[in-house]
Amino acid sequence: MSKRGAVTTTAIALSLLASPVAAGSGALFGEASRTASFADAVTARPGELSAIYFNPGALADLPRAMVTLSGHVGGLQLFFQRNGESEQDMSRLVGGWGVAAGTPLFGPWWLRAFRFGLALHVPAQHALKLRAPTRPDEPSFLMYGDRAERTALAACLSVRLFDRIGVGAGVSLTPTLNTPTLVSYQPGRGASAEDNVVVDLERELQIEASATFGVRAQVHERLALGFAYRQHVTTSAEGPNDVQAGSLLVDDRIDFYDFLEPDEMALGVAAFPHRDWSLSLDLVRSRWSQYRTIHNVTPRPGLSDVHNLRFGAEHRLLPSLALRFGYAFEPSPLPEQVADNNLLDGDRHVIAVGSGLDLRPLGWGPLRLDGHLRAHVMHSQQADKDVAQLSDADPEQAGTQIGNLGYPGFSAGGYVLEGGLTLTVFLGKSRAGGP
Amino acid sequence: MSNLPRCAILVLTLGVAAPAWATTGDSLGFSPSDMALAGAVSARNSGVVATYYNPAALSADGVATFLDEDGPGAEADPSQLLLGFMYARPSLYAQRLAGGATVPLAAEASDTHGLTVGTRFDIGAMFGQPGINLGALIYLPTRDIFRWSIHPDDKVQWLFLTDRTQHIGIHFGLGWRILPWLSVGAGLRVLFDTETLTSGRVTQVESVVDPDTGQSGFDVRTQLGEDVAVYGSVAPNVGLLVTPLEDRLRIGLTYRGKLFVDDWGWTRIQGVPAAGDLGYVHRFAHYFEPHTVVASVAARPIEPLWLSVDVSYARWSDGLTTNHDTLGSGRFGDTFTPALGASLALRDEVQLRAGYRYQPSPFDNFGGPTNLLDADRHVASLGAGVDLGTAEDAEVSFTLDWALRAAFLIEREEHKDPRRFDTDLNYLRNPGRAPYRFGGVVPGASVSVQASW
Repeated sequence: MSKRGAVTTTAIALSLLASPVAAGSGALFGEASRTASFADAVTARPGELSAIYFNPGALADLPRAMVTLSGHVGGLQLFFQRNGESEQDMSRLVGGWGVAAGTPLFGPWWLRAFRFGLALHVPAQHALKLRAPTRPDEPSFLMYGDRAERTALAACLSVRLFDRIGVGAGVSLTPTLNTPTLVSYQPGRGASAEDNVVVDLERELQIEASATFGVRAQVHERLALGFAYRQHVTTSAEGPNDVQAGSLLVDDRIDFYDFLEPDEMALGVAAFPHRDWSLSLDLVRSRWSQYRTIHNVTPRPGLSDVHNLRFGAEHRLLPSLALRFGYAFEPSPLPEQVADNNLLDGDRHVIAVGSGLDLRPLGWGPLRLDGHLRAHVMHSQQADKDVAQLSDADPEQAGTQIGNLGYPGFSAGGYVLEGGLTLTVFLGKSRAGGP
Repeated sequence: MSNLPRCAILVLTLGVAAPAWATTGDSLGFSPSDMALAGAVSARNSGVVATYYNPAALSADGVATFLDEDGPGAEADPSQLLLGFMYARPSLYAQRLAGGATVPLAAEASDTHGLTVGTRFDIGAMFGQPGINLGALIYLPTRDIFRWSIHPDDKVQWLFLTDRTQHIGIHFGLGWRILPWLSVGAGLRVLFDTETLTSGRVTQVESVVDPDTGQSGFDVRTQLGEDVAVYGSVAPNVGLLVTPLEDRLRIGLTYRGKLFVDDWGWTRIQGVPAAGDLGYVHRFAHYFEPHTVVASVAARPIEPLWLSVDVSYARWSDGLTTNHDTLGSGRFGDTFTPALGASLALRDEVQLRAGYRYQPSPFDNFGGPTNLLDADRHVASLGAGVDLGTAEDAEVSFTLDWALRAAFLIEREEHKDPRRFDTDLNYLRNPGRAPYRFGGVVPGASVSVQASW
């Protein structure tokens, strides 16, 4: 074996010491347990299925075909309190399951340098959930709305270059609905009033793709760097919606826009100081300034871009047992909600712990079981409305009429406790001395 | 074999094959191999597509076929990965009997084009118990995840040729070869149900006068809100496969449960002038598939020839139109659908296939208010598979399959009977009151590449 090959193999072996296991569809809380345990600091970590979304370039190190099955459940303890009123409990449970698969391609040597990965996450209660309130000023959490219960599908292709560099590109797929609707009333058509309603509609749920791109370089046997760009992910519903009854015509247009993920650029570094230790650090720039509300308008005042810092560590306690820890700080992109919108969010600390049990050394089959517990702790949000920036609720009345649901001000916050399990099935033969 | 003779055989088979292809039930199938056999594959060694046709056949590779010449035993079944593309373009007509004018349709019959991705692998082999195979099959239209075309049942429209094949289809199956001659299987077909709750509040009202009729009215603007939830729904798919004479006779039995998209909800617009609240409740059914039982036999009378017969009983008497039979039930009836398939292996590298299916229509308007078009059809198909060889060092063999298919709809006439209408008004304004005829042909094609290792 050449020196370069030996270094590369050692580096991969070191970096994979606790075995790669993590699915990456891009859904909030949809990560597999290992990635969640690192607080998503995985941009420079190699050979994991989480790379499908977080950094396609890192998938190039996938040593063998594998499939992961994940499940998670979490409690969102959230509140909204208008000044001078009692607290409004906005807590709820969320859950979901995911499946991801990745494999080296087979065939001639140049094809075998490629890796393909596919990840899917589906919420436990709904395959798809969209909520657009009638009132645009209804208070809603920026991070924990439909984002926390969304179906996500991601796929990527990556290739290994010059032994030490992996480059990959992928897509995140989301649905977009086109739904022109015409409803009319034909008296005498049926036996009841409901039977007189005539509905003509077309519904087309199409696929919209957002691009991901990434590169990972093993610059030293104990050090790796990663970079990833992830395009924003949105879903929308639109189309004319006309209701006609006698001389009344309600002609409106459905125009909903669900902003799920912003453009993100992530820089990561991973270090392997000892055969039983690995550390990773990510800096992620999230472009929340492009955010639009569910009613497809830019909020006033607009959101800010933010930088998130993420850290993950792993220690292999036994040949078959690994312990993990992760921390992230995510500043809120929201300015004070002084105008019509009542978006809720606060600076957030993400604290995660996890463990992985490799069943292969125990002779229990080509399996690995990972688990994690994670907490989101949110700083309390305060807002005082500026009457000069609020819309007039009734222009036909004299003066400015205030009907905003956040007036005169409010506070909001809470925390999230979430946990999950991931089972990984290793298939085929390892091609790089990994698991 | 060098590439030249192999290409010659491929070109020859392409030239011999006349246009034809196959269907699954009343829709298009999943791969060229099963479609070329007109769907008569429930007892065959059909590989990945057995996930739909008969999950037990996922673990019954004991019969020698084009790719697999090994008999049943304790070895793992080969893993497979299928990638296919299909296309079908209806060429239909609906004409008035008097004068031959074209009947305007509420929605045009649409082209179908989609991708099929499927895989099968022996998960039992990983745990030292070969013969337990997992199959997954996904059909994805290339344009939409799904499309619905919803119109009242009395508007003239094709019952099964507008949106029926325009939706994602997900199938999972698990087959277990519990004895060398007996396999059982179970699976799930996955669809979804939707709940749509639309609310609106009036933001603006304008009094308007229709420039054509001179009638005055109100143009109302609202702020709309929506709660949409999509739930998964599943139906079982179980199968049995017996191979009493090893690689000469296979007998299968499959049951597929009823499945359709239940689409319900309401719309309420509050504060409409002179009307108060305006709204309606809706409930639709999409992509209805009835309880179905398929009895199947496949036999090899001589070495290179396989013949297969499937007979499907579909309980269409439970069928629903898109609007839940609001214009009266009793128009659906149960059907028996026979399908025949034949395949001939040539020199181990090429397999020719042909099939025929007679598919009776489960629906009749009976001269009543509905104008949903469907007809009995003859479906003929042809196709071929070519072994592309094994990739060096990878122990993977590749197969290219293609098929052509045509469904010929037997012409049908519709004459409205005034006695079947609630009121004279409804009879007089029915879009199909003037008698009409309809029919046509639905040609299609498919191609796929399958890897086995």
